[in-house]
Amino acid sequence: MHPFPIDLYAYNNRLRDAHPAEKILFAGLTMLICLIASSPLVAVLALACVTVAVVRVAGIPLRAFWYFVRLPAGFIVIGVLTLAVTTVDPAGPQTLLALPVGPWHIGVVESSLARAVQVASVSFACVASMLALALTTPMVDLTDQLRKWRVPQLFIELMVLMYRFIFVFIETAQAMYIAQNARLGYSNWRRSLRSAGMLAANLYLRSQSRASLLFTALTARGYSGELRVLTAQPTWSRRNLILIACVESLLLLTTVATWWGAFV
Amino acid sequence: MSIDPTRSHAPGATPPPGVQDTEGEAAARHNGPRIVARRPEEATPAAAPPVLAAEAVTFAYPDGTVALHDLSLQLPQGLRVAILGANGCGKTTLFLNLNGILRPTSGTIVHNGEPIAYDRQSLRELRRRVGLVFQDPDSQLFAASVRQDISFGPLNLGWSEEVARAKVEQVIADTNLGELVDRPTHMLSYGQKKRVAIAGVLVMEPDVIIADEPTAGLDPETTARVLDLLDTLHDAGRSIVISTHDVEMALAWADHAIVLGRGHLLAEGPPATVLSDEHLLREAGLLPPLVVEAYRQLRGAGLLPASAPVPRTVEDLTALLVRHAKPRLAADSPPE
Ligand SMILES: Nc1ncnc2c1ncn2[C@@H]1O[C@H](COP(=O)(O)OP(=O)(O)O)[C@@H](O)[C@H]1O
Ligand SMILES: [Mg+2]
Repeated sequence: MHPFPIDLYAYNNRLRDAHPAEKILFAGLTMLICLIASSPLVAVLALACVTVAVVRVAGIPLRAFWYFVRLPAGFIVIGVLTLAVTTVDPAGPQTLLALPVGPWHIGVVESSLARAVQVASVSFACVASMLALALTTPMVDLTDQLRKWRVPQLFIELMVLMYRFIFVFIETAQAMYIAQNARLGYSNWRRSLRSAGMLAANLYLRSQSRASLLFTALTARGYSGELRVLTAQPTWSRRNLILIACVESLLLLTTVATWWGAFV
Repeated sequence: MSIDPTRSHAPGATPPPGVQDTEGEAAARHNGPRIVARRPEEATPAAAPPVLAAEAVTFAYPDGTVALHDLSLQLPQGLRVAILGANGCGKTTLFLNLNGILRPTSGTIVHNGEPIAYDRQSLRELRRRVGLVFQDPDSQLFAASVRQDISFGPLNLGWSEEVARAKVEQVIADTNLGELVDRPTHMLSYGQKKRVAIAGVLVMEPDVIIADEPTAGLDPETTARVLDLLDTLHDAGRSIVISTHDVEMALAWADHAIVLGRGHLLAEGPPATVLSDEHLLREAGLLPPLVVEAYRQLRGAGLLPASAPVPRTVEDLTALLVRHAKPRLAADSPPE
């Protein structure tokens, strides 16, 4: 299997050739509005818009999108639990749940629950926006666009090399794992620990030798401190821009409406 | 060696005048891609001036390993040269010295008659003219897409974007990489990576391409494709130098062979001569090609005359047998 299925979708979706700036704009604005609004309503609306964009416009199966959105769910839930659960006064009017632990009570109050729901919904909306970008935009396009926006070269070069090396490492690690497994390196708990340690140490040594090989090979092609490559020249799409404007306006209006509601 | 009219040549190569479509060529077409010797004219390495030469080069790695010992050799202009040797004999080290990445501990590298200089400007020019293709394409390809990777060299040479773009597209067309250009490098097969690595060097328009073990680890079909690609580059007038331990391939493909053993030069000359010297090959840690072994045994059995030239491919050997052994066997067998 491909070690990184997000990458496969990035190269095979209906927005593959759309201007990367459009996709960055969409994901970026959506995230920004969600963060500023900090409202579950806006977040849920954003989540819906992003899902429609990914599934209907980009043609990525809903199941696949859901699979990737779910991956960080564990982190979000754990993070949010610590917000929801606090020490409570069992007799307080806002207390929804209280469990005695020694001399204290821990449980959930209305305000802590609201905060948890808010953080969880905003987090999911932001994760989904990022994923929408990652699932529709190949890394090349992202770095191309960042180059055009004059993001510092060092930052982009690190991105390029890390991206390239992720695959080299995964392949190397997979090959080593298979080789160890074939010699029963993972047949019990102790051996597994030992084998995994050896794998990690070897991977480190190999990455060093890889890096020096890469440097040699780049030198042979005239490398003099800057990884310059030609960038593609994508075109803007009127339809996409209009869609982006509609979605972001909707989110913005909802945000204003929630603020209005809070003030009235 | 004289020109043998029955000798095969690759489909597409211009046959010498008067040469008919031979069995060898037909077989080569029917059996799909395979390595076929192509010799429109006999190479005369002595006459060609060397494009690169090593003069008394000794190279020691920082840890004290002496990888090249007082090595003097010449890479003739415009030929296909195979540098043969067992693992660890110093092929890669030699190539890194030829491209100016490593600097000889003593001795000099000579490029087009001039000792190479190691200042920035000279090295940049040397690396443009002497293209080095690394053995492991994963160590050479760094960019996220094929087209980007190929564009790396031209931009380093300071060419303008338009010129670089035009050259990149030209090379993509020349190397038949059209359908791969927008793919990420990590989604390519090993053989495709090899071809992209060659394209990334070719785009800098070198006069000599040095490929470190370009066919190691490739299946026969991909090997033939890579050699075909190198042949195309050679037809465009470039010198091609490869390192290998595949004696069969070197015998069939190269115009000139150089054998290294433990950092020493063991022999250089026409492949048919060098690669039929069993003693020499064993000293280098190699075995003679099968077709040469068969030829030797057939000669020993009296089926081939001592004057028969050393065959470079199975087709060559068949042609020899048809010419020399068939009449003899026909004469020996009693008439019915
Ligand atoms: N970076 C290095 N440091 C020390 N010794 C090396 C290094 N690279 C290669 N060698 C040694 O130099 C010799 C020649 O290696 P190499 O040029 O890679 O041979 P080949 O390419 O023919 O297999 C070997 O003995 C090898 O162990
Ligand atoms: Mg080597």
